[in-house]
Amino acid sequence: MDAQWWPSYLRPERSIPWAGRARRNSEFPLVAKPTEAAEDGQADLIRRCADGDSRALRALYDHHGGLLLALALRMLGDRRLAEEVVQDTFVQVWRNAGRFDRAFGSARGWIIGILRHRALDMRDRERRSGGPPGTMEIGEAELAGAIEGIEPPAFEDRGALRGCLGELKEGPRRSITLAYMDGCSHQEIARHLDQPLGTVKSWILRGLSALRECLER
Amino acid sequence: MTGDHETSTGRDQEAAEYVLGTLRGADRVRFEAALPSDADLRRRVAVWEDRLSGFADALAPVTPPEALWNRIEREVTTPAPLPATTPSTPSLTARLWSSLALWRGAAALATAAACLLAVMVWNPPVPPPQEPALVAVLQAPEGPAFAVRIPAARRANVTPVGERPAPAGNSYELWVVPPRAQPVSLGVIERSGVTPVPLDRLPPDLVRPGALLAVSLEPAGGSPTGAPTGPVLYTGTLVEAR
Repeated sequence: MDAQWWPSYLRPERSIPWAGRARRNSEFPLVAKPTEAAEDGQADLIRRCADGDSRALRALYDHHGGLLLALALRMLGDRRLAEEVVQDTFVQVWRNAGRFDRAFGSARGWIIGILRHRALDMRDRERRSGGPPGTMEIGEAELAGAIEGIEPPAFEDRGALRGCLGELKEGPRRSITLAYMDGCSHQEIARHLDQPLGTVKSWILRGLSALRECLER
Repeated sequence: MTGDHETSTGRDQEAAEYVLGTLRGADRVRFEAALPSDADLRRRVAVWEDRLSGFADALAPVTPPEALWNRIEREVTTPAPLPATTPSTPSLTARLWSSLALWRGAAALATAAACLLAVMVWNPPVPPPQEPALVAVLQAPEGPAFAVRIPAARRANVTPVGERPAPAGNSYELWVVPPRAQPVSLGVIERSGVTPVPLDRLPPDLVRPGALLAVSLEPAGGSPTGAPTGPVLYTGTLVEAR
């Protein structure tokens, strides 16, 4: 692939912490799966959605709906918009169930990925049109809570993220948290942390690299 | 995929930023356009989704109201404009979605699928054009939204497909997204009917087979900055209609 295809700050000629790391493009060190049986059950539900079984969609909704609504509320700060995004997410899960590949990752990760990109689009749209008051404001208390308030992990692998976040320096940790939990862009993070844009971009790249390394240990 | 580990590193970074949500605008459009034909990239995305999903454990679940499920159920049980995707028989949407990879020089079969839809969307032009027309179907995963037809080098016609009016106070704007440059505006698209888009003032090699088109949501009247400011909602690739 042409190097110029990437956004300028991702180009490999720049000094970036991942360059020169071990060559592992053919081996994907998969994140340890939460109890295999539970994950198999979730993946089966998605397969049944692909076969047109709406009871399977309901089961996924019962299992993930509360978490997804909480995440959408966090990203959007507005109940009506958050519910709209959750609705849209399950409709997408239904329509795209045939594209889910259980060999690549978990059902939970796939569904959260759909929700977050829907929420990012909605967030952009609302910002352009003024948005309801109180939306998309980032509170320091909430931000701190996102890191310190992580509850005892349900599964071993998910708890690992908390530990690895704790190993990051403050700048990368806060930047990545603002991006994931609040849906902030590079520019918004730079404004919020009062840092140059380039610093934030580099913190995020470095932080992601360190997270990957830590989670693979 | 190449065996270049530098390339592999860059791809993984981009997948990570896509999952994190910091890959935006034209970069996100290109990334998403590459996904359907790139299993390696899809796998990297899935691995990152799992790595970062632990964030969600910080949140206390918020029980959704039953009415929300009712709305979902209504939407999935009402006959959709396009059938749901299944592994054995990919839907029209999925197959056309694959055609988005064309700008990277892929799949003649997908070209055929896009051309087939082009024929379905427009009845054969009478009289037939002297040079091959370019067509594209701009779509999101849930289905097509706009059909673009360029019967001659100087003009494009854009037609909404189905009911997708822009929210009040917003406009849809059409862009051509060159592989290594910023998107170039082709103008605001009307909510209904055919929007003629003059192409006279564009560099001649910009609008060609394989070019990536995108529609973004902008403030009423179009982007104030000359670059996309709102989310990119629909993308498609120009192909020759023979």
